Amino acid sequence: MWKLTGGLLVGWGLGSNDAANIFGTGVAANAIRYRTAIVLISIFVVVGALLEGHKSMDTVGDMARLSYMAAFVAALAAGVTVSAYSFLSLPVSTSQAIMGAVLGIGIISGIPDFTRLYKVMICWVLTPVCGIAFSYILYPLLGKIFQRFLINLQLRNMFIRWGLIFAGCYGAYSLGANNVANVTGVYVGSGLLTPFHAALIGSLSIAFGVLTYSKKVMNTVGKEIIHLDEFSAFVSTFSAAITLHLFTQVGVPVSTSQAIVGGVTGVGLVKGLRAVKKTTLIEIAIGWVSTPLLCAVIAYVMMRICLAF
Amino acid sequence: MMFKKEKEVIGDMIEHINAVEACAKTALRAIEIYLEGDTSESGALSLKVNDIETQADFIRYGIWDKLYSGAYLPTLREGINKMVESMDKVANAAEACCDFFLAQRIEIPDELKPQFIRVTRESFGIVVPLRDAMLSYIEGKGDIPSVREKAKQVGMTESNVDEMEWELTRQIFTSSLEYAHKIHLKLCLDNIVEIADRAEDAADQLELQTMKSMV
Repeated sequence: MWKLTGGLLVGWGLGSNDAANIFGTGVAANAIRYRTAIVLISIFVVVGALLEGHKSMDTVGDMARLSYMAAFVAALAAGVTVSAYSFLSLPVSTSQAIMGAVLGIGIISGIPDFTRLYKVMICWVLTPVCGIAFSYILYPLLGKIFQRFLINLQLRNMFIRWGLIFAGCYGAYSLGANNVANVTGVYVGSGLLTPFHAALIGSLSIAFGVLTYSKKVMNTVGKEIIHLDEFSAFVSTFSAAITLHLFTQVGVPVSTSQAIVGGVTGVGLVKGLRAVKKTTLIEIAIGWVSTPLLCAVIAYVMMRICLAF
Repeated sequence: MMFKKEKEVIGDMIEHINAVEACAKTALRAIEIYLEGDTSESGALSLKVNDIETQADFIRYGIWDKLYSGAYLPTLREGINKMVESMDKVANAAEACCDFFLAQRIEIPDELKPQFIRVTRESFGIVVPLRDAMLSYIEGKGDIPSVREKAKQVGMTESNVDEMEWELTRQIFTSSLEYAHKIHLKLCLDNIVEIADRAEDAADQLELQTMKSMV
């Protein structure tokens, strides 16, 4: 079972970081208490992973058929990379880290499936683009309904409050469905876990991260996003949740952070504002290359050391 | 019950608006009676104005308590707070104007009385379109453009008051009254038009809030 520790570390890191992307706005807007939010995220992450988590696991597992040891090293390398990036306060995508690690180890055994990598990379690039597109379409559409039917002050308040909670729950569901493959997908590929067990263990580790260490990041991210306004925050989060769910159907784990940045950018475009700094967008683009590359190197070196002993 | 505090805030806001309207109407009646020469009846009404204004203050404090114990989302909360504060200033201005008449016992010459009554009625009467606009937004009885239209109506009434003020100021200073008396009358006029000014501020606040609601 110790071989699962690498994956559990990734899951914990993912839960503590990505919970902020999906419920930060609701908590910062006081639409929901922090404690209620983390309980809801935990529940919906597990439900999402159990119902749809298997869809992305094949992509991670099929990238390279790994041994038990290789799967452990891949997960550990991803966990170390994600932790290092977080420690340096740099934006990081767990999806990109795990893919890099799988490829790094795959190079040693000579069996990486680069054809699948193209599909994955296209999806990474499309993640913020889809986030932008969905919020660009949804903002005026929902805005019209909002303005026409929710004139009453109380109804308006109720709609936004429940909207933020709904978008957060849907986001948590999509996070579980899409990102659980990053946590335990490699173990399915190696045959250590069945897809069901992988989804259960992976989602529980994400939930553990959410429950134990998400407050700080949630407050920071939530307050940054809430600078827009509650309606824009709702649209951004909802768009990010749809984006994640869409890529779950494609079977590719993508970045929650990049989906939400896309959502916020789309709202900014509709309102004629620059809602996201240019540097954030540049950092995302750099991350598409640097994260998997760095993680591949770390995984390669770690695997070489393991093989040497 | 869900959203209980929010419902209570709406109820309190309506009560506050009604109190402000009652305050202005009672103050207007007190001033009219004063101008008719019945200072004792006017004084009794003036005390009633003070009571209503105090009651409006208490309602406002209640709204604060509910807002800052979690009713409404932060951006709406801030807007509600500003609207209630701006409404309260209308009641304060009505009370101050009433007190000015009763405390300083101003003497208005007969030839200027009709103009003073006219400008007082127009200035104090502004609370009616203001109340309509506020209630329309709070209760959601009209869409955003219609609320903004009603808020604009308040601005138009204020412009009328300004014109009357300018005309009356000219009449005061071109009259044969003593200079001290002229200054006293001008001070009185300033107090009268203050209600319309504060009402316009409240309508501006409402319009700002509706603009924030546009997505």
